[in-house]
Amino acid sequence: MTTPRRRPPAKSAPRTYASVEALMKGEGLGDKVQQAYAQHVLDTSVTDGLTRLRRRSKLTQADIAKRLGVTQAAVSKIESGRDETLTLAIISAYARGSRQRINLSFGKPLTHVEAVKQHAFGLRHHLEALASLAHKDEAIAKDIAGFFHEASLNIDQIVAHCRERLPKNPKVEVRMQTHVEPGLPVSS
Amino acid sequence: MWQYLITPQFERSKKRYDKKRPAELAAVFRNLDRLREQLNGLPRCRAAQAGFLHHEPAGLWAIDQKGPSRTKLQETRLYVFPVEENQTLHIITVGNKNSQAADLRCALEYVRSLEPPLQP
Repeated sequence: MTTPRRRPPAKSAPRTYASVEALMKGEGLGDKVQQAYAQHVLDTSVTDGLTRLRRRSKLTQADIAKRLGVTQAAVSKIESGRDETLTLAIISAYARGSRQRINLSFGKPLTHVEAVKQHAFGLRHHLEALASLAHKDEAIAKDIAGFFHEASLNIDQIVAHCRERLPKNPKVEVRMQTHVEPGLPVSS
Repeated sequence: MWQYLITPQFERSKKRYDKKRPAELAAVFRNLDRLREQLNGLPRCRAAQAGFLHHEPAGLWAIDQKGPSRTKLQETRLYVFPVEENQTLHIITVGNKNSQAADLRCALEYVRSLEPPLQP
C-alpha cells in the first residue's frame, strides 16, 4: 500500500490591482501606510495637476523650464515635489505655456448653494455684458438674441432635470418675498 | 490602462516595510501611482521619465521615495518590471540602500523567470 502523496500547496493566483488604493486595501497594508499615502496625495494635488496639464498640452519639461528660466532638472524636481514648493510664477508659466486657464482657490470650499448662487451672479454679469454688446450692431444683436434663447432653454432644462430628482410631493412652503426700496411710494 | 501585479517576492518585503517603514512605503507608492499615470499617456513604456525613476539592467525600474514626503525619509527603492504587452507593472520587491544589491539580484531573477516573450 502506498502512502498518499501530499498535495503541494496551491499556487495563489497572481493578484492585480487597478490603483494603489486598491492595492493597499487588497494587500491588507496598515493604516499608517494608507494615511501617509492619502497625505501625499493631498500634498501633491496641484503639482500633479500641473504635470497633467503640461502633458495634455504636449509640452516638455524643457518648454516650461525655458519660460521659467531654469533647467529641465529643476522642472522635474518641481513636478515630483510637494505643492508647498510652488510659486505663482511657476503656476503662471504652466498656464501660459499650455494656453489654459488655471483657477486656484484657498480655504473653505463653497457649499452647493453658495456655488449655485456664485454661478448665477456670474451668469447675470456675462449676459448683461452680451446685452450691451448687442446695441453695437444689428447682426450681433441677432446672434446674441439667438444665444439668449438657446441659453434660456438650456438653463430651464437643467433646472427641470434636477427638479425631477427631488422626492415626490415634498411639503414645500413657498415664501414670496417682496423687497421695497426705502423711500419709494408703495402702490396699493 | 496599466495595472499592478503583486509578485510572491514582494510579500516578505511588504510586511517588513508595512511594519517598520510605513512612511517610506507610502512615498514610493505615491511615486508608483505618478508613474502609472504617466504610462497611461505614453505610446511606449520605455519613454517614461521621472526624477524618482531609475533604469536598472534587464528593463527593470527602481522607484525611489523622493518627492512627496514632508520629512526626511530613508533611501528606499521599489523594484518594478513593466510588461508592455498586457500593460502590467510587476511589483517585485522594496528595500533600502543596504539591501540594494540583494534586491536587484532578486528582481533580476524574477525577470529571468518570466516567459521569454515578456523579457525585453
